[in-house]
Amino acid sequence: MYYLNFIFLFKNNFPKTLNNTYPLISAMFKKFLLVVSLLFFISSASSYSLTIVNPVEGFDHIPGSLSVELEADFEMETIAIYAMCGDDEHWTILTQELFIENPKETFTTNVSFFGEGSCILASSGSADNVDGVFQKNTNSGYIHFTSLPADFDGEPAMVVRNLPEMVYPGGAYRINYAYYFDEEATGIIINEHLPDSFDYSKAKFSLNNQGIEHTYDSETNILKIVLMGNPLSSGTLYYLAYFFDDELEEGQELVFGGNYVVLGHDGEIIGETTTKVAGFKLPQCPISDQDLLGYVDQWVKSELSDNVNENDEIIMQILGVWKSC
Amino acid sequence: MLKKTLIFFIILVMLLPVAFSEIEVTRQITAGVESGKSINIEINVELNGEEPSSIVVTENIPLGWTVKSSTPTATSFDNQIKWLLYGVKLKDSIALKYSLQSPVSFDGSQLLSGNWKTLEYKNPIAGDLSVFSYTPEQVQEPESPTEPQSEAPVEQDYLMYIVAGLLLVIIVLLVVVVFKKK
Repeated sequence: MYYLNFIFLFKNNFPKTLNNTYPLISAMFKKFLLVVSLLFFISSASSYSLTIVNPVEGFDHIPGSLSVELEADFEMETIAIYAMCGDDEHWTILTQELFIENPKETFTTNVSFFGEGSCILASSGSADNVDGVFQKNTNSGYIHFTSLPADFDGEPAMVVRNLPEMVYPGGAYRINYAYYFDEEATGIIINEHLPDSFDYSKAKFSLNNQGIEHTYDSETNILKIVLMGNPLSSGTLYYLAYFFDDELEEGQELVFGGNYVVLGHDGEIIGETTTKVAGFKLPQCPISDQDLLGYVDQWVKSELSDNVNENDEIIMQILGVWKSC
Repeated sequence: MLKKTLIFFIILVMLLPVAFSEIEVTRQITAGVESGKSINIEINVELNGEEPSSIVVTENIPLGWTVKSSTPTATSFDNQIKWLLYGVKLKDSIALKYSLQSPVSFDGSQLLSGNWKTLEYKNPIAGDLSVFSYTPEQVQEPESPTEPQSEAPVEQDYLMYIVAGLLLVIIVLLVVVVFKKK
């Protein structure tokens, strides 16, 4: 905050005679003060920063060695790099190193990484008593990237489907796809045949590919997604689908099937093809306040499901129905 | 005209992160912790215009660590605490706080992990990842008169800002005078 003192010091003591003699200089000085104070304010918003210079946001990783380059504005004594993919609950520590004797402002390393799908890379650096009080740690911004499947063996393209393990009748579900290109492509068409009891709801796509069109035929239950770009890079997309059939029995399998087409090549969508009907029947509208509180109470007591993730999933689906009423 | 363009540009730059962002959940750890003592951790949830029906925010509690309190009150599960946010609790900006007590044997650093999920998203909590151990500095004894005066880095910083500022002012004044003469 010293710079603020400095600015006020000069503002208050700026000669008044100058104000009268050189109004242009005076006016410009005030603007200058404003700009300088804004610049200082912005630059000091985060005291210490750590940046992942390489790899860059949205890159595609081929399983194996991953080159990481970090840059900080302070001398780091400990450096750690982490990654998390898909449904991982915890960070995977890719490397953790100490540089007590020889602190570093920049750090480059190669780590082995075999995660799959949509991942996040993070880094952490620390220095003892940077601010004179306690150990300071700083974390980088997060880099999102796509890690190719380990069996991606040079096919011109590949589309991998990821489905929820189980679906509750009345719920909304996210259907995920990852699409990979061995070389740059300019377009891909994905034709997906949804199970009869699913209803396509809405599509959302990864930000790196914006040239997307899609059509849904409710009679055949086929969703056609067209992605175009020059070049079109590997990425992920998903859409939400409602599972509405409550006549199906628990454990019954629901099958997804589809294919993709790129210039000169086509193939089946691989990955997960089936999901199962879960036993819990979601309530239908209207859901009274008493009922809602009852469900929340069951969530707190893990009575919706013994499995902690299913317990969360069921209460979120119930709240989804409740909000739509 | 230039002024209007500049103002428009600044507003545009300020709006960009809002226009293209999704839900952000970040953890903030502002201090180190002594062994056996508690540390306050804050998790900030920014909806950025998204309107989910609910959010479940989960923090995994490391082995040997204890949650002393939380605001709003979190629900405890096995080695986890969770906040279920829905209805009126789902505001644009939500601060979740909890106090975490370190084990008596704590030394070094502890990695924290957690996630947040809606029906549409599931992501790790971003922001600070590690809690560092902190040993309070020993009380400094008064300096003996014979010892040399220790340096005062804070005052040096202050002087540096003043000198840099003065140089900038001089440069700007010179530029203004030159332009005025022209």
